[in-house]
Amino acid sequence: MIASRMRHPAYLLFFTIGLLLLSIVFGISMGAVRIPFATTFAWLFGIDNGLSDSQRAILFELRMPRVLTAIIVGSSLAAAGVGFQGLFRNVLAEPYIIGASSGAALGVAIVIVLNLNATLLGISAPAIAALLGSMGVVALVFLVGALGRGSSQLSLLLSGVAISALANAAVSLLLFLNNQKAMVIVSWLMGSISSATWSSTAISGAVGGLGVAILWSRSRALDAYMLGDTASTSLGLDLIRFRLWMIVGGSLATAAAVSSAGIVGFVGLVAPQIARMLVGPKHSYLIPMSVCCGGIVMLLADVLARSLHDNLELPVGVLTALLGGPFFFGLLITRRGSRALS
Amino acid sequence: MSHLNIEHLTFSYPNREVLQDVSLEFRPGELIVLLGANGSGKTSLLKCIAKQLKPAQGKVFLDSRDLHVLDRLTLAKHVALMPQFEQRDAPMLVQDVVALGRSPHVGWLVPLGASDWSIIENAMRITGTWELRDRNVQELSGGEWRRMILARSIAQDASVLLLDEPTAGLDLRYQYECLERVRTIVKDKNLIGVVTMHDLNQAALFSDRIALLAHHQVLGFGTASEILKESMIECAFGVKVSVLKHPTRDIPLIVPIAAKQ
Repeated sequence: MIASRMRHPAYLLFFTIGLLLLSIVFGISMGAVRIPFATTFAWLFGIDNGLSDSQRAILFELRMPRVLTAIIVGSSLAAAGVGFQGLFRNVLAEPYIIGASSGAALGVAIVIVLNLNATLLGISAPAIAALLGSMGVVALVFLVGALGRGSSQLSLLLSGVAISALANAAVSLLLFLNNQKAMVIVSWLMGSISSATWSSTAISGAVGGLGVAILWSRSRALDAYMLGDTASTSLGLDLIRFRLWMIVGGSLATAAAVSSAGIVGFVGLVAPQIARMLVGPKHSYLIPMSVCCGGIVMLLADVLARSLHDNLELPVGVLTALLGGPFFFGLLITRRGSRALS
Repeated sequence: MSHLNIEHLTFSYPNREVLQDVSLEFRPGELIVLLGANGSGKTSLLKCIAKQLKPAQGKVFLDSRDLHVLDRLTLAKHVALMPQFEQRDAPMLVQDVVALGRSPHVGWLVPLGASDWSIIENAMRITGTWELRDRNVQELSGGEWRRMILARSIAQDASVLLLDEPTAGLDLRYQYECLERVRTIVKDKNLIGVVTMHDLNQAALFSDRIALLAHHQVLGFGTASEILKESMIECAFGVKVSVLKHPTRDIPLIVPIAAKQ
């Protein structure tokens, strides 16, 4: 009886997954070398209708990894966004604002400056540094926020802003003191997914996928957590363990995104917001829906970034910030009252 | 069946003593009403039982089981707390909020089964919230919201039901309906029900026993006619009252006269 009512968001979710798959085809057929949509579609299903070797190489070696990486980045950021919005009980939280992205960036900058090239289980040093950086910052934000007046949402958000500013300052300092590596760090921070390869895609997919899986597995706990500390603990939620899982899951997802695309702002805010409008606040739907929306948004942003100008690629992070900033303003203005900030 | 024993419980906030050496024993199938002035520690006592607050001293036992050493999920199987306030930021559906009451039994990962949904439906029908199931919680009135939380606490299916002012903000009819239903559930399922409220006559009407809190301690614990005496009420609330006889029941009827000067 009740179960039948749940079909509605499920249908929407399937529809969006379909849209995501379609946008993959769109994404790999777009580019300097235009390959017709239908041909690309057929190629994906193993029907090879007269593609040249170079076209096949472009599709498989260049565009597929790039498109998939874009989706992984967008999806991870979106899932991390939902996770942090839940953890901080504030719809304006997202990896970028909370400082997780800055923490990850700081980690990467340190590793580049120190010239560390070690790998662990095939994961490069910058990726690991990104993970540690974002985990450290989120944990710190939570601790500082909780040390103040209880853990009011506003103090958490503000401590996020403060720590994020600190991390950004540290990155700037590193840039300033290491002139010769500045370009490496800057181009990395600006974010670009043009250098994606199959192996980098696989690694960020695995890390991001793990983060998303952790967050999704906490869906019902997140629902309960939204009712407040007293209610959720009396429903059996262990707050410390839950928060730790959210920090780990959100940081894994953020690190996957930041280590493959640099700092990309606002996708973690925009995608969950769209998903919320579509399927409501129940996290078992909200998280997969945000993942799909994030993937689509990021993929379209990347397509836009590489097709706006013929021989110049815009950094994708600049593009998402350009589009996401106004969206954020709109959200601030239209949100009923100021509940989101109290 | 299980008894709830509160032994030598002491709790204080950093700069304010709340409960000092409180010992109480509640029996199954019993509806207990906690009475006391504002700040007398009713809510703190409930929260100490539910491990929401950590007492400085003392223990809470359900039979021989020390409730405070249990992990949250196990504790929630035994003790359901309906808080006075809850966040209402997330625009969730009423049925989804009530369904969260099943979490202690199914955990956080496994989807709810058909038996869970029938328990949820039953809890919603008992509380008159079944018709509200597709409503957004942000659209509920204060009274509807309280009934929804009551439904969730019932769906939790715990042997100890702690309700913190479940009738606050309800209209007269729902106050009586709510308390009647709570009493029925407590009797039918042989639960231990502990309810805080402010209306002395309702307390007399619905309680099996009343615990009267004042000056950090239990001033009295017993049936309505044992506890609701002029001297005790004056001591606990600082109000002069006349205690009459209830017209139809063998319980006291309290008529406030004036605040004590």
